Parts: sequence; C-alpha cells; structure tokens
Amino acid sequence: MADERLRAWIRQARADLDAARLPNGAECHRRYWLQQACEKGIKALGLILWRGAVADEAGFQRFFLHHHSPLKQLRDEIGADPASAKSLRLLLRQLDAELQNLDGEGLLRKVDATTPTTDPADASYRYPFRDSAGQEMAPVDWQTADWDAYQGNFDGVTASIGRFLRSVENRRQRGRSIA
Amino acid sequence: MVLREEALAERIALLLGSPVYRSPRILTFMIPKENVVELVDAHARLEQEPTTGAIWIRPEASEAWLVEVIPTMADDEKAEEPTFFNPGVEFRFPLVLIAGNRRSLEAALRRKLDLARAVADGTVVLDLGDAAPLVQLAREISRAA
Repeated sequence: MADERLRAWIRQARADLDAARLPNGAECHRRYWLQQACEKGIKALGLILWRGAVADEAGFQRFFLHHHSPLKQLRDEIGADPASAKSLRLLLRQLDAELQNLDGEGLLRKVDATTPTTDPADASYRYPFRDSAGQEMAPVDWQTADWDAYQGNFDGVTASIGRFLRSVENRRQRGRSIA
Repeated sequence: MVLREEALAERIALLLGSPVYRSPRILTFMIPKENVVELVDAHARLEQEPTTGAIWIRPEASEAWLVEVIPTMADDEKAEEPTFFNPGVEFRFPLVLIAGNRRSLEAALRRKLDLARAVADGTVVLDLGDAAPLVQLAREISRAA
C-alpha cells in the first residue's frame, strides 16, 4: 500500500515533467509543470524517508505532503513554531542532507521556493501579478530570461528534476526488492 | 528463520556493495563507517540546525544509531527518544537519531543508563567540542552505576 502510494507520486511527477517538455505549450505552462514535477519528487523523497510516530502523521501531511513548496513550507512552519514536532524538524534536516548531493546546483531547492500563489505582488506561474517594476503582467507575458531568473535555466532545471526523479525511483525499487 | 534473515542480509549487502561478515550460525550485516561519516558530515554542513557533535552507537544494529548534538534545538525533556528514518537515496540505511542540544542530551544520559552505556562505548564521528565531553559524562555515569 505504501509502495503503491509512493509509486503514484513518482508516476505523476514524471507525467508532469513530460508535460513540461511538450514543445507546444506557452513557457509559463511548461515552467508550471516543472515546478509541479519538482514538488512531487521532493514529496516522494519525504514519503520514502518518513517513519515518524502516528501522532506526527497529521503534521507531516499538513506541513509537507499537502502543501505547495514542501521544503519551504516545512522550514517556515518550523521557524515559526519552536515547539513543532521534533520528527518534522529532523525530517527537514534529513531532506536537506540528502539534497546536498542530489541537488548540488541548488536548482531543486530554488524551484521549491517558487510557490504558486495568488498574491498579486509575487511572480506566479498561473495568475497575473505585478513585476518588479510594478507593471501588471500575465504569466504568459514573461520571457525566457524572466523565467530563467525566477526559476532557473529551463534545460538545467529539466535535467536536474529528471535525474532526481530517476534517483528516487531507483531508491523505491531498491526498497521494494529487499522488503 | 535464520536462513531468511541471512538471505535478506546478503541481498542488502549485494545491493549496496557492502561487506557481509559470516559466523558459523548467523550472518551479520555491518554498516560501513564511511557511510556514517558521510551522513554526519552532511548534517554538519546544514545551513540550519547543523550538527556539532555525533556519536555512533550500537554499530552492530541493522540501523545506524546516532546521537547528535544540535545546539540550536530547544531544551527537550525527552531527548532520549529516538526518531526513525527509512533508508534514503544517498544514505542507504535505516537511521535512528537521538538528537538534542548538549544540555538535553546530558540530562538524557543521566536518566537512561542504557543510553549512557551505549554512548560510553560509542564511536565519536564528529566533534566540534560537544561530543568528547558527552562521552566522558556517559563513562562516568556508566562507572558509577
């Protein structure tokens, strides 16, 4: 059951990455699918690592699994509440430790920090926003250079997420073979 | 039962490319120390809540048991309670962390004699000033018991 759930997260992450690679979409849409692929991959890694107490399961879901930008969200939550569950604090450390090698360029963590938002003052993959010059923008207006500055170079991010998802899938298969 | 455990340990070792030690009756899988050192180094490099001291205890266990000093953690009256993690992508072994700031861990050693004994017999993997005094305290507690 746990493996089926993990497989589903990884499968959807790969489908999101495939959608990002489709050549016909507007760049904002491709970038959105990249963000989604990255987010689901990080959640899959969290699911792999997590072995917290039943009492902490709700926090794991609320502050990590069911949120955009799971690393950023968990970091913000822990920063705001020193009494937050120890298992969640240590999970964030363990994720960061794993990502030191898996995400040597820091691209995954950069993408994780780009939360889809409806705040008009924040850049968004999906909703109109005001850019740094105060100009009203639709995401479709943004040029490649804007997205590169916001999310990272498209090819670099795509390759980084692809490698990451392969590593997570390999780990899943390894876990299944010794279960 | 033993056969099943042996087969499992052998499969794990083959998958990880790690040594398997055989005895006449049982087969024991050992976690290589270099893997534990790599993990602790990663914990020490963290931007937030880095580890400043780490002691590897119970090396015969199938999980990596680490006592880690994290100075930025709040005082914890239950610092001896372990936190469990499944094997990851980079660190490929189950992990058990007993973590806290030094004061909380010292109090935990005083409360839990078995933990004090394990730390007294443990291997210091990282010491930026907190690990050796913790081991010293654990030895004093063990001797006094």
